[in-house]
Amino acid sequence: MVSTAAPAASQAASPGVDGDIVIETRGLAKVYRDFWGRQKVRALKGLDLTVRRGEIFGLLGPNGSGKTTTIKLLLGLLFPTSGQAFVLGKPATDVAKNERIGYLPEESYLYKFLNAEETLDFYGRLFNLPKAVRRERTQKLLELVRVTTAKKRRLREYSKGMTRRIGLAQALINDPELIILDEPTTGLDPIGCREMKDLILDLKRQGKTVLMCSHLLADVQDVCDRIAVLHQGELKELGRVDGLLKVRDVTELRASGLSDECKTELAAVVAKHGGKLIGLDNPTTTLEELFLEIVQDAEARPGRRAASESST
Amino acid sequence: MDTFQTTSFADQLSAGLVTWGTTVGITLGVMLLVCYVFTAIRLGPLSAGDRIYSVLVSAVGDLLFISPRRTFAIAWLAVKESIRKQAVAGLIIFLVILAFALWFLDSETYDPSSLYISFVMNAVNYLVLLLAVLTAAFSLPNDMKNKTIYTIVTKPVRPSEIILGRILGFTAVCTIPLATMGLCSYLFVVRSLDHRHELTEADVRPIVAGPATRNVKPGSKQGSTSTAHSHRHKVTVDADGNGVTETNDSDRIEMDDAVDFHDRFGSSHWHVVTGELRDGRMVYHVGPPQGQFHARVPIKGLLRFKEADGTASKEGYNVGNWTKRGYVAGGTLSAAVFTFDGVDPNRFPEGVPLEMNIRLFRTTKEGMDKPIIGSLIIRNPITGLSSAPRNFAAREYVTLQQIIPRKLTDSKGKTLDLFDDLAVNGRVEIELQCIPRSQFFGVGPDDVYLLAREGRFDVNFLKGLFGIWLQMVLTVVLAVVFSTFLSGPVAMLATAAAVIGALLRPFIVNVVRDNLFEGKAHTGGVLESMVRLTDQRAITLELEEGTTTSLIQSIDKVLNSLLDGMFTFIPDFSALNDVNSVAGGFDISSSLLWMHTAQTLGFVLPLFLVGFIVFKLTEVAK
Ligand SMILES: Nc1ncnc2c1ncn2[C@@H]1O[C@H](COP(=O)(O)OP(=O)(O)OP(=O)(O)O)[C@@H](O)[C@H]1O
Ligand SMILES: [Mg+2]
Repeated sequence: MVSTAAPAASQAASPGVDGDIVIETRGLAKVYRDFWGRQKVRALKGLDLTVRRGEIFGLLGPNGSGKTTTIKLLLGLLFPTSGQAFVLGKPATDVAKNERIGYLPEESYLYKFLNAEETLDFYGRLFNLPKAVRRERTQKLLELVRVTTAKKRRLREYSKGMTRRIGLAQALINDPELIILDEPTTGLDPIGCREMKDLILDLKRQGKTVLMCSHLLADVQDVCDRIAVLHQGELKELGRVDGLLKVRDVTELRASGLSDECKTELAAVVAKHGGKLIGLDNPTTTLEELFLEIVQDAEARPGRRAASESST
Repeated sequence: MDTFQTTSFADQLSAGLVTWGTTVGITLGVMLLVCYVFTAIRLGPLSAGDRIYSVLVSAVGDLLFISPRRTFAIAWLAVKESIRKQAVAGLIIFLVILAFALWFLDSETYDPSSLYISFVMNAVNYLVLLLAVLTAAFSLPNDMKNKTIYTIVTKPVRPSEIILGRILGFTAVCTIPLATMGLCSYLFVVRSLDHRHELTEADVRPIVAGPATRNVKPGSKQGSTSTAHSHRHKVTVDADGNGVTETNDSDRIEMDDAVDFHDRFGSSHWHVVTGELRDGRMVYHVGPPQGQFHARVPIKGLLRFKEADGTASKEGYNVGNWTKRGYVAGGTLSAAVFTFDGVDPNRFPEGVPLEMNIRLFRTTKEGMDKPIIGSLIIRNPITGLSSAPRNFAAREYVTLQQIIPRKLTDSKGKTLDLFDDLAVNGRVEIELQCIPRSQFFGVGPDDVYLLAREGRFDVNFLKGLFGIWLQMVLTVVLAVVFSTFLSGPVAMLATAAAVIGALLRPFIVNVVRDNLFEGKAHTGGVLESMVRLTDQRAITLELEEGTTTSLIQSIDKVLNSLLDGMFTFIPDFSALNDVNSVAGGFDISSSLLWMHTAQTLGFVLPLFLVGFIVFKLTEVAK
């Protein structure tokens, strides 16, 4: 994998000397144990991942495949059972790395007894930001996530989507270099989803790195540069989104206003050139297809792992 | 303070620091070793060493680079949490109301100030500790449960800041009700003991001439005020109608009419009486109570006893930690001898005020309500030169106040100067004897003292509250530390248990020491007791001599010292509790306050250390 390309191979503890690598995991594994130390779940099995600066990286996988576990390991919320994780050149358990990270959890775990302004001010203080900076950023972020009108209300009274927006604002309070988003679009209305995707692309434009996981494949397809597909804690696929989708030997044709005769004609043309017509109805999202295929394949042949990146 | 019992704070501190350092060092060392062993089992000896080393290094960093802004942000959050969660607010209100209900119920009965003070202060003490347990124990576990902690630990916040911030926050949260309750209880004590009496012309009559009235000014009248607050006062007024109510039974001129046995006379305070002639009649005004609250600064002495034949008592010298009373037999050479330091003319230009609280032990029933006469002499500790005996009348539960004048006489009538002839470098001996045969005085080392000065009662009350505050801080720290590894309710119970242990510590220690170590239970140590239990041996039977028995007994010795060592880990709240001093009217010295602070810090620092390291090693998202 790419990790071997890191120049500081001899200096195992600090791979981030290569300023381009933002996240790196080596054989990262997590086994959840119960109180007595008995093994409950092997949530992650030997994950090797590299995320580079300026990338939008998507983690995909069915429910319970280990996406959130990966993120928690990267943030030091969990300690790995084996393997290592480095974020921004520091071990994942080092609090100093948090200085440049923004994190939006799976659900917005915020203090319900604070109002929006107090919440952002509080998290700003945790970054040791001076008062003037905190005030300015709070106002800017409240506008960005569009909850300015409700800024004096306690979060207890917020709807799910509103809380999610404050959660996002909270993740951006320190103007982070790396933003980790766990299912960013859950709970948001369609406009909110669109705004979220625009925001992510905007962050990329500012040169920031984004790691996100999501079930909404359309979202991932829209914004991500590279994706990794997890299944039961194993990495099944890894690569550039366009590359991954291009390897499919499929030509998609999109047209409107075709008559039935025209369709039969098209089918005849395909047949004439030795092709096989897969379908000629409304096209399915290709990533969705890929995803389903990977999952079905993984279920049929457990143990296969992502061999190499499709295109780097 | 220059007394025998209290060495200076600096001395005590340096001695205490050594013991403290050793104890904490050994404890942390043992904990580290246990951690190492467990890690080594999982990771092997070498990488376990690496792991522990890196944890220690980063722990040092966590302590060195604590950021005030972040810590106060966490503290602010704790305050907000407690204030905005109405459950706690409701609880505070409930407790305050409850407390007041209790206090006002009691306000009708007559009691001296000390009872009032100790009642309200102890009530405040227990309520505040309860409040501290309830607010501080649930916060961290709730954060874990609601996962709000995820958004905290993914910020550059150090575990030390999370723990310290919480401790500070909950200390602030609990200080507010403590201050409120403290102020209320102060006002309550002062207000509810405030009262007036009526005195009219009909209540006083001219003093009948007699031997006891020699010193009375002509035209004086004497009588008794109306009853208020379940007591009344005898009073002597001069021809203009001015006077003071009497405080001291021994000063009282015998009344010509019989005193109602059930009448209680206020002797804990006095009132100033002023007279005014209105339309040819005398109208008396009785002022507010005075001298009700004290904050005496005592100089205590070293006490020894003399036997009936005048020889030194077998009881030996009082070594300071012995507070039992000794007895002075009346009509013999038996005596209690106090040695006082600090008797110098700069401090006591007007003479030395001496106060005595002497217990009376009567062997005859006759004259039960009469005082017992005693005598005291002041003696030069080197030359033995002494003053003529001065008599005093001792009554049960009455503080006798005497001024030892500068000019004294010896038994031959020769004049002596207290400071020049009797004091040597400020040191004098005062010898107390009981005059009547078959009566006894009970005297303890704290019962007789010189009054260096009167401090301010309100300040002393505040000092008493400070002792309560320290207990509260320690409780908050215990709760926060327990909540780093226990769930909310369990942490609360653990803290409550620790607080109860700390409150009852002297009792627990006594029971264990008496029964196990000093053999008062006659069953030997832990193991021997178990052997006795299993074979149901009578306690009068010794175990058979032999190797088994000596083995049992030596194991017991080790167990006993382990058990004794365990006491070191229980804080002693009774040692921080100065309510008795405040109620008894004694000033709490600043060196004592420093001692208390040092004792509290002695627990707070290692507890904080343990709490933050435990939290550091906790997998937050587990
Ligand atoms: N605290 C925990 N204790 C025990 N097992 C856990 C714990 N958290 C997660 N798991 C298990 O680990 C596996 C991976 O969980 P994870 O939350 O990482 O999945 P995910 O990919 O984020 O799923 P989703 O899409 O539903 O969010 C699951 O089998 C889950 O049951
Ligand atoms: Mg998840």
